[in-house]
Amino acid sequence: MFDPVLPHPQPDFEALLAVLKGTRQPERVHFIELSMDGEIMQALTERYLGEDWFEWGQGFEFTPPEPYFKQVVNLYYRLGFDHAPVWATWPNHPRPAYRSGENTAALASGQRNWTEEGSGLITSWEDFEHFPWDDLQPDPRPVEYATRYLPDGMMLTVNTTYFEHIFENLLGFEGLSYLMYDEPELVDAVFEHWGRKVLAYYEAVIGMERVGGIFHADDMGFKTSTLIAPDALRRLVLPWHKRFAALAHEHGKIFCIHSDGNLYKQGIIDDLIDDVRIDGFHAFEEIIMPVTQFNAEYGHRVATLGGIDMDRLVRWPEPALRQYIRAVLDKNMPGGRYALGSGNTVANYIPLENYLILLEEGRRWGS
Amino acid sequence: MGILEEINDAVIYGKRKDVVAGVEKALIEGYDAGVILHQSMIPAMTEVGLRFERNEFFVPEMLIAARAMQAGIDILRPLLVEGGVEPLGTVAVGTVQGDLHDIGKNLVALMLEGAGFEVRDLGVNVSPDHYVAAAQEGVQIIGLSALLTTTMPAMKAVIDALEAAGVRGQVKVMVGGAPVTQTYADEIGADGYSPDASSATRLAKQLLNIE
Repeated sequence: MFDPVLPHPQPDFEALLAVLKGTRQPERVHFIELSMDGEIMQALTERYLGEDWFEWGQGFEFTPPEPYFKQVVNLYYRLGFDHAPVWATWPNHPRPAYRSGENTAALASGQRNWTEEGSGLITSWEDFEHFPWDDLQPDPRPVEYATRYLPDGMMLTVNTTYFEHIFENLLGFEGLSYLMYDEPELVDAVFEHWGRKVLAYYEAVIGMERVGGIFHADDMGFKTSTLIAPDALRRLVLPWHKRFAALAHEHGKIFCIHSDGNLYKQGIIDDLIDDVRIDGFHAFEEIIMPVTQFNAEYGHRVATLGGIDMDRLVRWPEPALRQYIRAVLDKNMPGGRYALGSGNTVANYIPLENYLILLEEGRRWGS
Repeated sequence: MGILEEINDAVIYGKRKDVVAGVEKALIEGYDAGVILHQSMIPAMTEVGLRFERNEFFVPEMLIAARAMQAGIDILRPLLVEGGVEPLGTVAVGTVQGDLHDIGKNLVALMLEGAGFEVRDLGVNVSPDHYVAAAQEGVQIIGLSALLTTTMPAMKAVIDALEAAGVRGQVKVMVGGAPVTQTYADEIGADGYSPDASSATRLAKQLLNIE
């Protein structure tokens, strides 16, 4: 029976960095994740660490108390990660509209909130003027709290969203779509204001000693295309990504990005690599761009992060899933510039035993 | 540029006010409502769909075009009813039970309407019995949408429910959504799969043998 928690983990963020940059051959498989859903972390903590889970079900408008970060850091540590992701919180942010429905995830119970996809918090200049921009200040507490429990050798990666926050919460995706044509100046103003907030957050935390880099998350596409026109992404979104990346690099730290969707047809991936200057790219789906194909085509220019297809993680039977993960490792590990993880996030709808298979195959590979 | 071309152009570029003005002008000039719809506006939405498939247009462009088209149809609708202009067919679309995402489903509905179908939007988190009821009421196609790999099985549940109710043979089922593939569509016995909203209209026509 595979036990996912290590008795004596030996995190080595510097080794992870060297592998991702291609300056060192990997001596083992390094793991990386953008995030894990609370239900997954709870199940792992309770079942394998034998500890009670401090449940925190609030949205990004609230900063969890210190015990929450203690258990998150400890879990990542015991699972063998070299990093722990810390998401930004935005106290005083108005609560976005959610719709609530039955949660069908394996580990979930009750209701799940989904972001309202129509309009967001800002639908007009009046909404914009009344939005509490000045009350939204960077909150370094999550990083400070997590740092207190960070073992030697391990570092934090800091995360938040820019474009995704705008189309999920501030404008809504349909709202953004219409406003791009009806009120383009309002769209520009929202992107500018939120961009400044995100930059201020990264500026507040990037210099902290135990922050190893930025792992920024911004979905920019879906199965067949980008969410908005590539030129609009290049005008509204990528310049901010470039600023975030430059900030990380000025501090000698890495900037990796997560984006769902097809960024290949219109060359956005090339913009990210060549202009934004990302150090690693994350989020892969086999039906869009298999992780192994990405590594073959782009691996000499950027690190490949994660990539184990979510659909396969959820639905494939054990033998096929193991074979697939081994094949991904066999293809991507030689030469470095690869870290193993899910293709998106460790979502609560991934059967826990399947995520354990990912961890087990990662530990076993090469031994 | 003739008035029908002007309307066509206005729909393609989502110029709602120009569509309204153009439709009103065309009616004053004596154009039949069905002619305006079928020779100007529907071809415009077809062109929007093609540009979307070619990655020349994106979701915002599709949404504003559909909105402009809707503004024109609002003017034409009473005249179309009066003139006995029939829709190409009737389609019920919905996001399957357990899934509350609706942008993809909404885009499919907009494109189907733009192609001349009558669309019944069943909404999100739709239980199988609602699809069965729609089939019993005579819709010709049921369109199922799912964003999550965990909600895809609900598509099979709908097909099973249609079978159990004895109406599977009288309705076509098409499926789509982020994790859905042709292979999965075949596995669950759907009649068709479409990767995006534009090709969904082509699929709907194929399923009903419309040229």
